[in-house]
Amino acid sequence: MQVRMEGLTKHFGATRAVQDFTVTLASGELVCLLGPSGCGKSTVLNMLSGIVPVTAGKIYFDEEDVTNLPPEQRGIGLVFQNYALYPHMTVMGNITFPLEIQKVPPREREARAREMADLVHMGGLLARKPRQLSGGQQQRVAIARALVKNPRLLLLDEPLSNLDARLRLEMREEIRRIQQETRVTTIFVTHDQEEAMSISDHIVLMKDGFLQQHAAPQELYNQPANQFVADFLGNPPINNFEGSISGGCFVMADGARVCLPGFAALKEGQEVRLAVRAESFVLAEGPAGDRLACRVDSVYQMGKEEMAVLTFGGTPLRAYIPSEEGLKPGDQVHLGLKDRGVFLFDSHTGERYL
Amino acid sequence: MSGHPAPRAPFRPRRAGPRRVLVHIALFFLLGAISLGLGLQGRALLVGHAAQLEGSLLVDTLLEGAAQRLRGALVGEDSPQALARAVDTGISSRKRLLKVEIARQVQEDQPNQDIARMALDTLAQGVLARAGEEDRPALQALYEAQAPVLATGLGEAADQLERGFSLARVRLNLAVGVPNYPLMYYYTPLLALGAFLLLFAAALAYTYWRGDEEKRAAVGQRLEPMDYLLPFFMGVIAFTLFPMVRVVIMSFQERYRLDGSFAGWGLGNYEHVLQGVPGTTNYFLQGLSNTLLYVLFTVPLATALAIVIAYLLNQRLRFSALFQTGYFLPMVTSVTAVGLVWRWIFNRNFGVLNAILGWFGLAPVNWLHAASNSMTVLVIFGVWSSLPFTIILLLSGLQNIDETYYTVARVDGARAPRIFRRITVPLLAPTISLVLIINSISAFKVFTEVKVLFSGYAGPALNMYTMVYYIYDMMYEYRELGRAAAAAIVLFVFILAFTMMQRWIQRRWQYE
Repeated sequence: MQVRMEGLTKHFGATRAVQDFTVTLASGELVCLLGPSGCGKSTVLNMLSGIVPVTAGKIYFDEEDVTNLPPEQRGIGLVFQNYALYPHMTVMGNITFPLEIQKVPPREREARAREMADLVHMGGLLARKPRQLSGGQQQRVAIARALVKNPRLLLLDEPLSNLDARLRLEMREEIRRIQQETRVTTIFVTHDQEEAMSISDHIVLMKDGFLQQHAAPQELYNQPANQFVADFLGNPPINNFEGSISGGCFVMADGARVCLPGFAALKEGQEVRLAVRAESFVLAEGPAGDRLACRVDSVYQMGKEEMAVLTFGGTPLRAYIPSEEGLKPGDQVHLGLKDRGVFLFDSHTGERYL
Repeated sequence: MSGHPAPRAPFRPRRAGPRRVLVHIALFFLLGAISLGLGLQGRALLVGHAAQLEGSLLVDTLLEGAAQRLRGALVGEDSPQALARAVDTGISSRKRLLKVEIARQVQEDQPNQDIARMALDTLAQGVLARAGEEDRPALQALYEAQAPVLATGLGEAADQLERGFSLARVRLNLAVGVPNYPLMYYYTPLLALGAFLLLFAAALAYTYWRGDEEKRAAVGQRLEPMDYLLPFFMGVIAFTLFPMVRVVIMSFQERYRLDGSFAGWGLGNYEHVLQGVPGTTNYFLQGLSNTLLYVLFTVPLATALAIVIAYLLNQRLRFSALFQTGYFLPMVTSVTAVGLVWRWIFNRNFGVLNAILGWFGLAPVNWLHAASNSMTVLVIFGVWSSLPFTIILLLSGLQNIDETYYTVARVDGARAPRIFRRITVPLLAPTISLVLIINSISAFKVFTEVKVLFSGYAGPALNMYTMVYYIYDMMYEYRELGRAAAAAIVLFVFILAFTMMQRWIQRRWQYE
């Protein structure tokens, strides 16, 4: 089922949680709503589920306007960070509860619950109570409970945040698998960019209630729409250098400069920020106009590569350098830039120029 | 002198070491000695006080006894007034000096018999000295004939006084104003405490000097929590545990009196409580059935009502602060004061309740003075007064239920009644069970409500005895402490059994 939000807005008193949010999510996809805490992603989710009424805007499920439909009529499955499994019911009781509400006959209820339990690999533990299950198992049950009534849309609100790192990886793959098998349109809220990158078909990145970019994970990483997107994605964070355009070159306050072909097109004196991902540097022989003259501050071994911390124009930067180069603190080196992962943003608006 | 700083001592975690045991031994020994010393001093003071009291009582008895007996022997109904006056003045003329003499002889521990004779003789001389010439021989003859009998009687009375005089009795009759009253009154617990502390100190000392380092450290570690527990525990022992044990003992002491005397050991108290006086109403059994009825009505009613009210209060209602105040009001008011208000509510002619019934065309009900309505009235009042505490507990239980359960259920299409029945109530079960137990126990102890509602009587026709009312009655009206204690033990057994049963039932429907 396709989900379409048009001009979706939510104000809590003076707080503007979500503003003019317009996005269309394709049917059968797993989409991540990504953003820092307080960016409005959970509010979007709650408006989709109908728990929170919208201030303005429309929500369409396929062509149906569901904006004012109560939650139970929207056909939604909901999974929470804390699983919210009913502690007094068994796994079976938890999974059949939505069907009990729909007055599905008991025999069919159980059959469908078993089917769901098998899907999430919990078939053997139907008689257990939630407290007898691990966090990961509880989350599987919560997903089964959300899916058992064949929802049109599955909403997952930070479903992995309560799990330890190892289980989080495992459950991430499980959610992906379950989504692939059921092909139910799924919206997954998270603040963890790595999680979002690895699991989703598309990512919707939000900040301060505004949509920043809606794209496939690789595109988001390689073609960030603005400074915020570039900053939010990637580990280590992208390297930023403050400066301005002078004579077709990027010049920093202390005179350090670098000239790339595209810079000439920009206005003279324009204040810009050069952003370079750590993996987009290459060690070069000798100085050149399109190279950065840096001093090595420290070097960390990271397997076949080294993470080097260098200083360029008074600004520290992190770069991945092959181990065999043997950098030492204090070395003066010249770094070239690759084509990919090098961006130029407006210093003030964050708008991307290159 | 090298330039290096002196090596620091290796770090050792602080740990209650064997020295703590030494401190404890000293402390316990000191406290024990003080307590024992105070106890002994209290006893000595009491003995002194008793001797003094006994002496002056003895002197008074002998003096007044001699005067009374002598007058009784010499003056009859038909004696002329002049004679009677002569006898009276004669007796009082010698009294002051005689008192000194008696006191001296009592001090010297002369036999009471002899003192009595001496006293009678002295007074008789006084009488003879005052009597007219013509009466004197007759009086003398009369006295001499009666003197041995009078002296024997008076001596025996004095002996009896001495025999009946016990330290315990003096202690129990001690007036609060007497100097050193606490020391004298509480010398036994002081002695016991002192002995206990000294024994404990001795036991510790033994472990300390016999045990090795490891053992000493272990004892020290074990002692630490006691430092914090002991002060509080003393209070618990004195005001909770001791009375509890005392009640059990007292329930087997027949005809127990406040001065500590009792007729004998046995089951007589229980027999009386359970069988009553043949041919009369057994108020204990009446109280038992009333109490059980009260518990069975009040507890489920109050709990059910409280669940509903707490559930409503837990919603975000308008004016919810107002509602909360209203519902919690009974909690901060005294049962006695509110009971008086309820007497007005239930008033037959002017009461609010009958006025409301009147709106619906119902005849006024004689709530307070018709025996058939007593239980209804009591239950209504009981439910009302137990609501607030129950609501508070349940409200806190409700607020502990995570909001997401409701959200998930709502998104799944569950409506309020189903959510309440299938989610709220089961998740509230532990709190409900707690509330049931607390309310049952307090309902079993119903007393003030009865006392206040029925103007200080057990119902309009003495039909509203409850178990505690019976205990109160036995204690304060009949001064039958043993029977009151026996009734209290029976009540305890009932509460215990009831609570166990409840726990057993609830274990079956609780999820944890």
